[in-house]
Amino acid sequence: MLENEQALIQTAQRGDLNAFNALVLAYQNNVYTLAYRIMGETHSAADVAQEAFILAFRRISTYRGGSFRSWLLRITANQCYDELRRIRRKPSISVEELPYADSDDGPTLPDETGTPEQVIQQKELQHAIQTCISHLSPDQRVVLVMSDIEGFSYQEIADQVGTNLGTVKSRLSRARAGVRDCLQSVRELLPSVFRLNSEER
Amino acid sequence: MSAERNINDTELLSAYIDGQLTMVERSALEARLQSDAELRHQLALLRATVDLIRDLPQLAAPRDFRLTREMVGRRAGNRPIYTFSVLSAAAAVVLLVVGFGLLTVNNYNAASSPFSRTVNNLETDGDPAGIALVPTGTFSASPMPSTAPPSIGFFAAEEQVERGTDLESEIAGEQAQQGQATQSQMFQATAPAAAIQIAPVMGTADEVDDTSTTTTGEDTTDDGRFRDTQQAEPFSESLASALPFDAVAQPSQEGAGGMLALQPTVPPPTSTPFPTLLLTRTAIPTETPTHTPTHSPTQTNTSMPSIAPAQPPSTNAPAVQTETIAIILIVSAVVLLVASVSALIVNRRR
Repeated sequence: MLENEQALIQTAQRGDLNAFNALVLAYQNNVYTLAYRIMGETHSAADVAQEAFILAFRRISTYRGGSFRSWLLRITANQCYDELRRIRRKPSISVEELPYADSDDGPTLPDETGTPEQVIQQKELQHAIQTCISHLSPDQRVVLVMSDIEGFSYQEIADQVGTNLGTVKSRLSRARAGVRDCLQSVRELLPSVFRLNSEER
Repeated sequence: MSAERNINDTELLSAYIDGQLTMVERSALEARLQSDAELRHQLALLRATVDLIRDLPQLAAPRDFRLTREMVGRRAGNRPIYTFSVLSAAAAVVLLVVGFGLLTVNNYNAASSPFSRTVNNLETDGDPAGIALVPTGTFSASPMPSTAPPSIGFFAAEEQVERGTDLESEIAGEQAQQGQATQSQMFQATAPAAAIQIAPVMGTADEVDDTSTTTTGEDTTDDGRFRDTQQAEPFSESLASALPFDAVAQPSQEGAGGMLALQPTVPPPTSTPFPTLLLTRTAIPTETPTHTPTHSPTQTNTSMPSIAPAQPPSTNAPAVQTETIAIILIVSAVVLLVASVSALIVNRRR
């Protein structure tokens, strides 16, 4: 949260675009990351992020306090939802079939530390996880990213998505299980726990 | 383990990881975990998966997402469409109002010829006896918009009362112009929806001039002035007192309409000053007629003074024109509305 965030928001609510752009600079990585994790691909994630900011400026008067970050990310998640519905891609499309699949997820923050091999391995693992997330259905994807990546609570997600707590729990557990099972294909990159059988524990 | 049990356990474990189990559920699960190695393994796998996801790093935005005035001025290219939607919707509303206004005026004008008025509520509920007033004499009735068998609840219509004044004034004016001492206006009752009827102005020219007072409900028995005064007053009462007829009360006077067959006391063929109210029953589909027409059109035809029709043909032309314009406006409004809605839908989809 910026130091003078509330002042910037109030100025932006009076139509000051410069004030709003200061907020954009502060949150664009976060917004883009959320969009990327849901969309799974750079170009559509960038489009969604830009649309989300435009929408946020137009609706800035509806912000009534609370976490501005959460408010922004909710708008972003909704934009992702709309875009996913519009695209209507099959959730089980493989990475090779995706026309715009990225070879990796792009630069991360902060800069990676470790040996080059470690860095490469890390990137491959992260890309593998992202690929598995992209294999989920849109409903499961949004819930998983909002919960496990952005830290929203069950209730916040339920309110955001317009469903009940039970549905959020169910979708989240299935999403997690889906990623868990998907990761089996890249076990060599995974922590040892993934390579152990129950008998070996 | 069955697949179903796996799913249930996964959900339990997932909620357990997030601290979303009730105390009872948590106790039960922890007891199972102590004795079930496979369940513990599943929990470990799930926890590791969640940790991997949570550890995914934040990414750097691939470009600057700061907004320009152009971006927010146009809704990403949709703004012009949005403006179009709003403007076309507004224009459509205006066109609709004007169009319907013209239609209403048109109908009113068409109805307020000397022969007819449009009355909305002429047909009363279950009013069996419909009496149509058939124009006689030299004029032709204005076009009747009726479709259903004409029936009239004669003085049941409020509107009729109001328009009576207008009509009578109009008649009076025409009569004055024509210099006719008597005006036997025959009105043709049209159908329930269309409704027209009017009691013609009766009496002498002098009396005719006073027709404007007839709507006040005063008794004007002397001059035989026809008036439809009370809104719901049975026809028989008001008309009988107003007309020099013998109001032959017909059985079916009940209801708002009081249907009457009116029989002029003075033989219409010879006395022009007297109103000739010709009543004939037109088709009444649902009921056996209880009235018998007291006059046949032929009887009165010859005796009818020549009454210049209030130019039905000429009123028709402008009426048709107005109606056409009104229809065009309404259709345009509908088209605009459709375009506006379509633009909005396209806008949302983009």
